[in-house]
Amino acid sequence: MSMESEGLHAHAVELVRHGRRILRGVSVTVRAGELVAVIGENGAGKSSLLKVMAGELRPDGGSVSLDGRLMTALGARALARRRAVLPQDLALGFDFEALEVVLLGRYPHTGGGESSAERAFAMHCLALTECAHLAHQRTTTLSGGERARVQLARVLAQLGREGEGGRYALLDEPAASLDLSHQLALFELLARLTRESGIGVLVTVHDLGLAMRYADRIVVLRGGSVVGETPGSLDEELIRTAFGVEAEVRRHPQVRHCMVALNRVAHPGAG
Amino acid sequence: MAQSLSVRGLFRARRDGSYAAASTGYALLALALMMAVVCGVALGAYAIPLPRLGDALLMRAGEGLAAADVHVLWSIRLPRVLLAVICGAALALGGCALQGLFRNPLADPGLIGLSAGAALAAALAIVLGGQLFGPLARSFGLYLIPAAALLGAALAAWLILRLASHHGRTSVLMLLLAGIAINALCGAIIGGLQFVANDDQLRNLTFWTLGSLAQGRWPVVAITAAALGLGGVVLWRLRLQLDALNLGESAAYHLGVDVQRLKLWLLAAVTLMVGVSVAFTGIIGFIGLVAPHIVRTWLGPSHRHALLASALLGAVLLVSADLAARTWVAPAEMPVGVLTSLLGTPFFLMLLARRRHGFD
Repeated sequence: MSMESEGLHAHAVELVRHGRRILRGVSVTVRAGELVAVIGENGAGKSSLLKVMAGELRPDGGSVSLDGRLMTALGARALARRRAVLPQDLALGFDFEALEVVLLGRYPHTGGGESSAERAFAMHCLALTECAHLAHQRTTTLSGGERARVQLARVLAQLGREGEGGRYALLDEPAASLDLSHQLALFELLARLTRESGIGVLVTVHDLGLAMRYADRIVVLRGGSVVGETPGSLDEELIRTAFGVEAEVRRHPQVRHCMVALNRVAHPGAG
Repeated sequence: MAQSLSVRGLFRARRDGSYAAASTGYALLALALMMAVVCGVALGAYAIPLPRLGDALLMRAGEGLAAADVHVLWSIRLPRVLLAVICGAALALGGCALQGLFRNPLADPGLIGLSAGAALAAALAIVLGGQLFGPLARSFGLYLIPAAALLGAALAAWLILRLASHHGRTSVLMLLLAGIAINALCGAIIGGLQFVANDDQLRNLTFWTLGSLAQGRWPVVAITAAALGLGGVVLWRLRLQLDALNLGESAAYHLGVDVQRLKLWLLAAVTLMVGVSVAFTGIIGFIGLVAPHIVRTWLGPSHRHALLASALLGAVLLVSADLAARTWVAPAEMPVGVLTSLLGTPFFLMLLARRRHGFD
């Protein structure tokens, strides 16, 4: 089997859950310093793909490799030092303070030692997601969007400082509960992470405008298969195929492309 | 005014949403434990006044009263109070760890049937041990009952985990229902054993189901202390992984925690501590529920502090409860489990009412 060494690769991944085929021969690559957006309708397999690439679900066919090593050969701890994951629905059992949640991200690197340097770094991560003022709030007192930003800060803390080996971030719908301003701030931050720290980011997102504006590549899933992969812009045909929506994509002087959704139409070939 | 506000602030989550400092918590708990232990050894059917306590402690046995002091302190009070410290700590630690594992404050070793499993096995060993194993039982002596209790607790833990977990998710409702079933079954079998038991065994059995620290003797203290020490070290090493587990099993995995391994070690440690503790004291309910809950609302839920602070508070609670059980109806003695259940049940119901919509 030929395998590129650098990058996080899903290679011809098959996934069957409860007798349903969720992923059908999906191949996706995230290289260091690259922001890849995964889009697709509900149930297209975005979250499942993310879980497989995070090492959480074992594929029923194909393989996943991280910088040349098969996922199955990496232990949980070794894996956690190299990639961080933001799942979609996180519910805390007990009511931690925001800073404590972020410090959990340091576990794979420090084993949990909580020096003042670690706390300072956790505070820095909170500041990056504009949550520094929430550090000592209990998480139940936070709004949904604030909680999402605290969890994002935890992921940043896990990616770590320069040289700690954090290479990839897998984020499942990180923008879902954020307001417009924080959605932009989130994607600006992700773009900066890829450019300046060489982190490879895989993100699932529903807002095609955000995907087109910030992603280096967009992977389009439908029914568990990749139906398109484009750098930057989506064309109207692909949007119709993926979502069954008639849309118009326009160039915009500032944000590369923007999209106007017009009508629902039948999926081509659906029935 | 300012002072009363700050005192209240110690026991209630503070207004800015943060928790009280752990150092304050440890200091207060250590102080409370010291006071409870001093009261525990000094008070009782035979009271040793404080001035004489020091002499007795140093075994300065003189004539008359002083000799009695030394005897009561060293042969009766001290081992009993130390057993209360150890078992209170073990039950609270066990509760704290189980709650961390199930991410729910309702998981108590008594409620989910762990203690009942241990008690049943201990009861079987008491009543049938002699007949089944004969000389073997006699040569095992003191160790037969704790060994059996350990086995019973382990079986119950395994059963609970099988019943309550499905596809890696743990249903709290199933957990409590499984607990009811295991408690009922063990209660029924222990009840049945009472029919075949002789008088000696019967007294022993009653004491098992109601809980008592009357077995506090030095060898028992040593065995329970060893179990607490072993289990406690394991739990202490798992404290950060328990914190990570608070985000859920998959997020804990993302953070590099081997969740299956964590579960096994955790259950093994809790089973050891609670099983051995129950073997000598019988079922003492609600310490494992109440202590961690108070600690969490006060110092925060992070297991860096919750484990140790729960252990301290559990010790304080059980020493105090035992003191009350010994002195309330003195010279008779109330089973301490009756007392903890009386006080613990309203607390449990309050917790249930608050979390009424939290079940899945």
